[in-house]
Amino acid sequence: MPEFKVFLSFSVSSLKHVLLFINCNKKRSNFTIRLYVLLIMIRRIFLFIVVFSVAHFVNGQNAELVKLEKLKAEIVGPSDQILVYNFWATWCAPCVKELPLFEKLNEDNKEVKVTLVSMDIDLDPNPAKVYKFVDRKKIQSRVIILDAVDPNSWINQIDKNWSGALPATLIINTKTGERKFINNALKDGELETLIAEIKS
Amino acid sequence: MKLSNSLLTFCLTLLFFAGSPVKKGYDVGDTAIDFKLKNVDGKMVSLANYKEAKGFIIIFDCNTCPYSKAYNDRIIALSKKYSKDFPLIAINSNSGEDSSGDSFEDMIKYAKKKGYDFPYLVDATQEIAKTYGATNTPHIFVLNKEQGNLKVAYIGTIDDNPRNAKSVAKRYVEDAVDALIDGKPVATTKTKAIGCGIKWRDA
Repeated sequence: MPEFKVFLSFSVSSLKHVLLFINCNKKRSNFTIRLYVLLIMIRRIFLFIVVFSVAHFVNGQNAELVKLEKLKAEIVGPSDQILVYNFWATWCAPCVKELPLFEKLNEDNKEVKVTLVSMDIDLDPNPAKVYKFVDRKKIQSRVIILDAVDPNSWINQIDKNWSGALPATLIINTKTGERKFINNALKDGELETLIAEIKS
Repeated sequence: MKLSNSLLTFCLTLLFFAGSPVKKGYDVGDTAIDFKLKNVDGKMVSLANYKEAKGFIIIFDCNTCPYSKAYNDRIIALSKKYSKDFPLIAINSNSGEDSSGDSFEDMIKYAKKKGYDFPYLVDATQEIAKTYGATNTPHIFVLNKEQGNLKVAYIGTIDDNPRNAKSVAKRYVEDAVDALIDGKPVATTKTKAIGCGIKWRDA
């Protein structure tokens, strides 16, 4: 909880200043000192608000922007886990509907590494929508936002069977080189069957 | 009556399983079939109705997909530009039941609101999308008339920038149609783009 630590340290130091302010009022110190302490206190409180809200905002931004080259390298592996990439977008209703299946897989099966690849910025360059979505839905799986233009030049490099339609899911066993690509929404249990097939 | 009904269902199921998994849709160079689908004005539309056309721009589209919306003005502009030689025909193959906002009534409203001056047809059985191999919206098939046959000349997306029409570098559909009008070979015959999957009815 880094947020909480920030909150605590600022609360303590702000409190110190408040006490100091009350104290110097009691002592009837001179006006300049009292004004000075008051100003420091106001600055403290202002800073506290800024830092706390930024810390909160950053915490919601746990989706990393990833370039195509990085994603392509990742897919090749090697990895001890079965890699599962789900290509989705916040605007895609069937994608949003099937996300719980991937969340469940991510929770249940530690032999599998689930990555949810948001395609949102292909249409809208501002990733804020994705951050908000991930925050609101409390997504636990790893989320990345693919930062790449001109999909025609790279869709086939992800998988030649991909039409470009969302949702799409790629399952890879980097040890055997075996891949499965599904270019439609998955049914309950289908994911587990595909993983069992690719594992053996 | 009941017996004949169940017999019919059985035969249809058999037909469905026999025919469905083999087809993967058209490739460039294939001969496309004509169709007869209901337009938003209630009339049936066939490609055979267009005697003067040199070919067609067939667009599998819908009301609801954000990519369709992003390309809407560009689709209207394409229709205006090529209405004489390569009329544009939009087809909605989304299942109205599985995709709210894509019913025939919604199509009528949408075409009216956007001022479509081209047919916007409903592919209620999804048979045309399956035969053509359409997967996304919008998904474009440029057909060229050759000795009375409709040859598939281009399959893919409209251009290379869904975000912004002003930043487009490659106009795939326009380049393909311009080449066909000039009697030249089409340079880029196949492209892919991110898009909404067609909402198939649950089998």
